[in-house]
Amino acid sequence: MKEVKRRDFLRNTLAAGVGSTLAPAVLLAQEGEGESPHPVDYPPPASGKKKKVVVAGAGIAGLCCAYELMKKGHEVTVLEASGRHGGHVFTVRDGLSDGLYADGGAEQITKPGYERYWEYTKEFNLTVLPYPRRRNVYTKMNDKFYTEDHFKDPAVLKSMGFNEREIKHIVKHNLHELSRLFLDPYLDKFKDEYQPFGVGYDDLDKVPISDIYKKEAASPAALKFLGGENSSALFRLWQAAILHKRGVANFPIDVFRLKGGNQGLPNVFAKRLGPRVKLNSPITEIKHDNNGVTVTYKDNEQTKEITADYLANCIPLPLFKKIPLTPGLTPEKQFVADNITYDSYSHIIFQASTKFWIEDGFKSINMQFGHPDLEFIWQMAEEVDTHRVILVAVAPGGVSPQRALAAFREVYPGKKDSIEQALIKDWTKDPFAPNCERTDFPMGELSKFWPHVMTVQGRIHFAGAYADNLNWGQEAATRSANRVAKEIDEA
Amino acid sequence: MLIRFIIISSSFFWGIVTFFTGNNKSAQKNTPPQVRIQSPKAAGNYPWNTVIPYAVTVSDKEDGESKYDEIPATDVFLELRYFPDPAKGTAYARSTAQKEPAGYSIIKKQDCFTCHSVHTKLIGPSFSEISKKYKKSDDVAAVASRVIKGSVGLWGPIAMPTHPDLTEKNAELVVHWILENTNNPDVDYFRGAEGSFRIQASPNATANGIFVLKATYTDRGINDDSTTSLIGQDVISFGVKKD
Repeated sequence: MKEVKRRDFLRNTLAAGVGSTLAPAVLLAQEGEGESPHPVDYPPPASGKKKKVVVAGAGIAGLCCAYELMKKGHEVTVLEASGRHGGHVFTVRDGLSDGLYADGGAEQITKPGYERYWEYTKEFNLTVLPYPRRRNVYTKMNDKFYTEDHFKDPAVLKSMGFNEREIKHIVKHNLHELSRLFLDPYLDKFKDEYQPFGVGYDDLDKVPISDIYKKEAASPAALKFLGGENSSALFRLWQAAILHKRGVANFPIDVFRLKGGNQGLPNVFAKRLGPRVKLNSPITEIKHDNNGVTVTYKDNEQTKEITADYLANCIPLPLFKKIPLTPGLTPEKQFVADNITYDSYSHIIFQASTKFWIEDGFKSINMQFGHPDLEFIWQMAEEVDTHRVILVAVAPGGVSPQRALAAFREVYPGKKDSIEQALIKDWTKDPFAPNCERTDFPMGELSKFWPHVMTVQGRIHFAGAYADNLNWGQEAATRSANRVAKEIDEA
Repeated sequence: MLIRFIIISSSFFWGIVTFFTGNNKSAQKNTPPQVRIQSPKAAGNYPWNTVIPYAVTVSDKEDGESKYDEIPATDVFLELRYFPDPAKGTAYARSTAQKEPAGYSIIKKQDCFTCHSVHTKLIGPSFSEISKKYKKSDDVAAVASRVIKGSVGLWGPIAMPTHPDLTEKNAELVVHWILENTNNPDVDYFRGAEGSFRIQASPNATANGIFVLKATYTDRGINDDSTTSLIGQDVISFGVKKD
């Protein structure tokens, strides 16, 4: 990566022009969208046993878990190391003109799917908007751009090498649903979406999913498209079964987002929790035994201690494992903490003065480039009343906004763009929330990870985007947060 | 057991340290940075298989103070080395005024440690996995080329970004350093002014070696001229509590 000298870095940042880095805190979203202006006191739990709970981390999982525990009448304190809440759910407004905004982190929800999330949008009266980022997509393959129509054209699909059966399936469903043609016959054996073992496929953990595609007579083109030589067949079948059970596509085309930015949901949780959420309060030590937990944390350079009946850990394991813990994790949990992996990348945010792609004859700017410095791009915040537009793009961590812009200009198939500003949120460099979604468990190791990612350690419970069966971020975060709130309430 | 050594060594990678290289610099002198390991504190020994928090402060007349973020936390690098023989550890700690390997100096200026750590997989594969996969001499050029051009698919679906500003020679020095230095379970490298590290489980029942922790900061030199950069470092050693 280009060596950035500090002074240049500061100059660029202060200039707030093309290539500046995003300021961290933007907490203005969703004002007046039905939230209570003040924290609410809830009656004691029905059982009469009020528990004291420390929630570690104020990302969406931590806030959601704390909110549910508070609603059940328990006493909660949320300790967040950084100066903002929301974690990976992060809406950017600073530096953008005309009231525009962009989701710099968590992107979308689906329907069906995300049931807990949808319930919260109703409870808090949050406006959900269709997010047509997966409609009218242009995909660059072999130096040529393909449209959705191409991928539905049997002649094009045939020229790509797909066989008749595959073409029929793709035309009916979608190219992204091709794997279901081969996997669906296997899925009914999974009865409980949280139990991948004992359904007759345990041995398939050491078999690559590509072998299943081959067994099901996939064409060479399908095998190339689907890959999977290094993915466990058991893991992939289980994941497909979860989606199948929930009635969710592999790659849902119609997705949704919150009006004003996805940070709207964590903001409402935090507002309801009020002073129960302590920011800039990093946990420095945890001690636990059969009776409870003692959590040491910093509060404005002062060391403080809090005792509680339970700890709901909502910090991702790669960060949690760096906190001294006495007694330590069990060997099974330590293995998960040491070996769980996540993806992470940058969101590049372009502000343009016009919908320049329309002049160039494109229906949308939703484009997949596969460029090493810019993978794909789409439009958001279309409802904001301005001629300006916001484009969001994904790039690998470490790529500067200027380099991403240069990449865009290299691969954009039109004549000219009107981009006037480029901002970046590089999650790989975020000290508090560097982890995006959990990646697949390695082949042959499912039993080393599952169900240990979710299991309790004495009085410590675990929630977060990684701590559920499917790794879809906000869905897994809200599901696991509700699971932990229930576990602690019923303990 | 805990011993502290403070050594200032000059930058070596760019050649001889030059304080007076031109007219505009003739009156300037670069002051070496002061690096201090604030914790672990100078007391006691630590149990095996423990997470140990650490904190390092850096003060540099020209660059500023780490506590005010004038020196970025990620510019502080640490090396943790276990010595089964305490005498060898003490000798190593005393002798660390030696020059840094060229590849290590370059890697400290890059973003490699954002996505890679030495012994555990982060966003990218661990350096030790990489050093196990590639032969020391044969593969250096090919790996270095992927560092410069970026890569995806060899280790998984997450893309390695491009590093077009690294020269071929420097990329090869980086790769060479990774392949040579990251496959030893007794040695770890990490960065950050504050954080924690885990010391390994006891290698055997009678193990009574020592750990040597070295923190370094390479300053920005006179007017950001890296040929005048100086390295400040602090070294401590600590023992291991026997069960």
